[in-house]
Amino acid sequence: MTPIARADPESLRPAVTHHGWQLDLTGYVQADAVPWDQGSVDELAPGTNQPLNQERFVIPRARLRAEARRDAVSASIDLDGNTLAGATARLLGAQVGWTYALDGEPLVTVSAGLAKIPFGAEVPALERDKPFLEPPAMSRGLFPGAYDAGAQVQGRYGLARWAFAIMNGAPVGDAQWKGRDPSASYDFVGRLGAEVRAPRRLRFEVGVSALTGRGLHPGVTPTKDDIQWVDDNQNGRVDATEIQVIPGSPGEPSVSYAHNALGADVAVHWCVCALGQGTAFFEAAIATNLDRGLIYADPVAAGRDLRQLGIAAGVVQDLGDHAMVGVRYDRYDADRDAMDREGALLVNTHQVFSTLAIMASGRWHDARFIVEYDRQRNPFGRGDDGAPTTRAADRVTVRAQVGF
Amino acid sequence: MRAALVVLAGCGVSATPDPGTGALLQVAGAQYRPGPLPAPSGGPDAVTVTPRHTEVQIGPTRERIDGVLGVGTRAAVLGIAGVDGGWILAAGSPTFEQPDNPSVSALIGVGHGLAPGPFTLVLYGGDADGQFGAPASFAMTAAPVPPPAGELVISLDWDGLADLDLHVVDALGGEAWADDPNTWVPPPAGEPVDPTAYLTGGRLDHDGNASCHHDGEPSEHVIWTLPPPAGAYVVRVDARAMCGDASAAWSVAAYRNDQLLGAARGVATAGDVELEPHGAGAGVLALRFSL
Repeated sequence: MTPIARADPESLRPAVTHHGWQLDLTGYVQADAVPWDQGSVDELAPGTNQPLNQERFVIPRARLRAEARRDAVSASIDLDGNTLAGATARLLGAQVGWTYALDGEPLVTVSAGLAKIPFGAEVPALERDKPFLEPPAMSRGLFPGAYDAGAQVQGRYGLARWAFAIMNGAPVGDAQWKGRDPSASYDFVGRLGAEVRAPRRLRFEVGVSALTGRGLHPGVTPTKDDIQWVDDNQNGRVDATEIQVIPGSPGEPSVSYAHNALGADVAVHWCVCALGQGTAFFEAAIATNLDRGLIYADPVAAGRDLRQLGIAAGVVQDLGDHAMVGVRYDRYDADRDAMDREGALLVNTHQVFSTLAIMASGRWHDARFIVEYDRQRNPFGRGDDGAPTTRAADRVTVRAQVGF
Repeated sequence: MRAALVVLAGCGVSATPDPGTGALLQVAGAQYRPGPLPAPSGGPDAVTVTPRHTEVQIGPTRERIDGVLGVGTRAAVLGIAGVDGGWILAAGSPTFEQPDNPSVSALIGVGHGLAPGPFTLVLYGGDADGQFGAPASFAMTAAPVPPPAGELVISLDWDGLADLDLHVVDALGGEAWADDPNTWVPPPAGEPVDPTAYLTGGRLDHDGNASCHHDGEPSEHVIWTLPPPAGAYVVRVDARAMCGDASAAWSVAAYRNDQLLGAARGVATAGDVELEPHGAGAGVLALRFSL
């Protein structure tokens, strides 16, 4: 699946055994420093009044996981703390599960709770093991927060890997609903894959993913009559003719709409004796009305379906036992049918987010030190030619991570 | 290393993340463009730029301008002649009167850093290659917002989001504040009311940052348009809500026929908000004076 930063083989963890239950406590802390960010200014964002400074020390993730097992039954709790928007702590994941094993292999695991969304390779992967600092824009747009509540079945048999889930369809990072499910409908999501081992220590992973479900366009509650001043003659004074009555509205009902996605992922792992393990990966997804993180896709408000397309590809390579380098390019078009004005004409444009991430890291046991340069593109600026262009956002991030 | 990163990042055209809050010219909904205004380089010439008024008040962004651009123009840059920093707007549809020329329309304002007096608004047009032509210009005047006029004016000014209330108690004991905006005390029920008597009181002009609705430049004034009664006056400042701000620095001043009678400064904090109730008599003492 997703390339994994190699750590020490699993050893004895601090564990407590009580009434037949084995409790494991694990966790990790990431401490970031951003010494240079092209988009950082000592100003407040108009509208939100939030600071625009990005050159700072920040804790993006400080996570603690408690996992209890007794025979085939298990439960886990993941807690997350961060300082991205001020110090905060929250419940990140919580699951109960039952596993049926065959010949020591977990053939089927049934679980319910707040868990990773099983779509593609990047979204379900654990953040502590990812070689790059942050997920690609495709994942941040389509599956913001990566966690959703629901019930899941996953397992493996021979070459086959599967994971299917019924979920609320409201990821924890949903920009509008903030993880609260606004509708009674569920999202059906899953990934079917295979893992093939080949000669010369090659290993291939492939998978296809799909999602279908419904989102909700929020209605409007009834409003009262109101008055508004429009300074028609712009003299700065209220004249009798400038007072308008804004009549109250009886409200509008909320409307649900369909959203769906298809994805494919492939990864090749190798091992070069002198250097160590390496991985090349590629992932792509097409979606309709699914963006919930970057450019919110609401087809009712837009009056048309919003189609998304995202890809991510990269290579990571160990350099001996204590170093790794990698590069990843991702590109995400949040609205493939977007229009922009060009003089008297409306022309097609693309709301593209892309990042070229160049990473180098060192490791010692479960500690990692990562330096990453992200060259980012976005659709938020406007250039001298009047066309949408990138608002400068390149950055360098230094991260220290310690797991336990 | 930083220089190398800047060079690497510069391998492409990107817009500044600076929202241009400190620019002398403000243009609503436009992309800020730091640095000198464009030098004409063979692009289409702008035709006209016309504001609705020749005088623009310093502060609010509400003066509408309309521009006519040369044929083939894709972008417009608005600025003040001789001042760094412009604003990029996409060229819009032609108007009925100029069917071949793209147009542009925007709301502008000028910041407090611009000295009152004349300035020249300039509009450049750029083509699809980012080449600009000669600008169109319009001579305008920046005018300060006139202070409220009256026999006696007591003002409260502050910065930020906080909801502060000015309380003024006049020589007759009447108090003007947000929920009772006149120092004049009406007669008891059943007694005849002089319909012009309310004009004898000091009247609050408006409730600044009311209910945390940000005004931009919050202020409140209690104004006597008729000669005020002789005696002692008390001015207090009440912090109704901080609205997310940690503190709010305020200043109070009292003017009699434009002559300063007294002034005071202070800082309101969340602790002041807890000094309930926020009714008549609330607030910290800012100023005492006698007429």
